[in-house]
Amino acid sequence: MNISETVIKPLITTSEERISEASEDIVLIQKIQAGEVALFDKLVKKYRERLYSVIYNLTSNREDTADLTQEAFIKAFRSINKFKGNSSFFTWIYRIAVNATISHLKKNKLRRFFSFEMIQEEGASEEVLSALCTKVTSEKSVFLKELQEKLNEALQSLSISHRTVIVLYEIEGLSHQEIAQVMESSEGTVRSRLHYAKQQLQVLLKDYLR
Amino acid sequence: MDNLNRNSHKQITLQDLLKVKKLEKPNDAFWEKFDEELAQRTLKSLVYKQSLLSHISNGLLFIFKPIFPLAALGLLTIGVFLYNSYSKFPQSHSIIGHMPATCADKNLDFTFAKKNYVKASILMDSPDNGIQANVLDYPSASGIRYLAGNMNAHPLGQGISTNTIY
Repeated sequence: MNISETVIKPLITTSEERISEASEDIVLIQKIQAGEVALFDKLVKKYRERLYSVIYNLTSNREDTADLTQEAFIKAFRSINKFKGNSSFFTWIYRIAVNATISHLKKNKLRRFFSFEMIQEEGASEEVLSALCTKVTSEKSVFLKELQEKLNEALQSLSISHRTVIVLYEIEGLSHQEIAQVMESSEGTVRSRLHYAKQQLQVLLKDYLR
Repeated sequence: MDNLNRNSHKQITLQDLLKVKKLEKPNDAFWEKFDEELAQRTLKSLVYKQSLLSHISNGLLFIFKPIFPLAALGLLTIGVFLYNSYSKFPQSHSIIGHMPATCADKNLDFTFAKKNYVKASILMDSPDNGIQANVLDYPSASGIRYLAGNMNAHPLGQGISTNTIY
C-alpha cells in the first residue's frame, strides 16, 4: 500500500460513514417529526461527544461547554420540525452548536480562562501519546499538562473564525466542504482561513514543533 | 525539565500536537449528569414556552376583557337588524332556470358571460329596491354558456331597469 492509498482510504471511509450516518439520521428525524419525540435521545447520544469536543476546543472551558452543548440540543429539538433535510443533520446541528458558541464567545470576549479536561489515555491513541511523549510515566502527565496549556493558549489567541476552522478540520476531521456548510461560507474562505490559522499556530508553538 | 521536554520532542508536528486535543474527553459520570441536566432543561424550555403562550393569551384577555360585552352587544344589534331586514323577503325560488348565455347577454352584463365565474351575484336594480340573485355560470359541451341560480324576489322590486354583476 503506497502513501496515497493510506492517506486517501480513511477519507473515503469517513465520507461513506457520513453518508450512511446521514441516511440513518433522516429516518430518525422523520419519526421524530411524526411524533416519536423520545427518539431524539438517540441523536443526542450519537452526537453529544462530537459537539462537546467542538465546543470545548473553541471555548477551552468545561462548564461553558456543557452548557452550550445542552443549549445546542435544546435548540435542535425545538426546531426539529423545521429541519427539511437540505443538509445532513450532522452539519445542521454542528451549525447550531458553532453559532451558539461564537455568539457566546463574542459576548464574553474579555473572559479568558482555561479549565482542562483530563486526557483519557486508556483506549485513546496510544501512538499519538507515545509519539508526543517518550518520557517516563511520572514526567508524562506534567508534559501533557504543559502541552494542553500551550495548545489552548495558542488556539485562544486565534480569531474565532480561524479557531473554528482549525478545530473543525484538524481536530474534528471535517472536510473543507462540510466546514463551509457549517460556517455558511465558501470553501475558498475555509481554505484560506485554515492556511492562516496553521501559520499562526506554527509560530505560537514553535518551541514544541519540528 | 521544561527545556528538556522541548528539546526531546522537537520531532512533533502541528498535526500531532492537535491530535492531543482529541484525547481530552469527559468521563462517563459526566455524561450521566449531562443527560439528566439536558432532560430537565428540555422539559423546562417546553414548560416555559407553554407558560409564555398562556401568559400572552391571559394578557390579551385582560386587555380586551372590558371590550367583550360591548362587542357582543354590537354583534347582537347587527344580527337583529339583519334578521329584520331579510325576514321581509319571501322564500327564494328559481326564476332563471337554464338560460343560454347568448340570451342572458341581452339582460346581463357581457363581461359576466366572458369571464369564467363559478358563482356570481346579480343585483337587479329597480327604482325602489334591489333584487339579489346567486348565479351559477358554466359552459355546456356545445360551448354555449348557461346561467342558473336562485333569485330572491323583493315584493317591492318592480320595474327592473339595469343589471349589475358582482
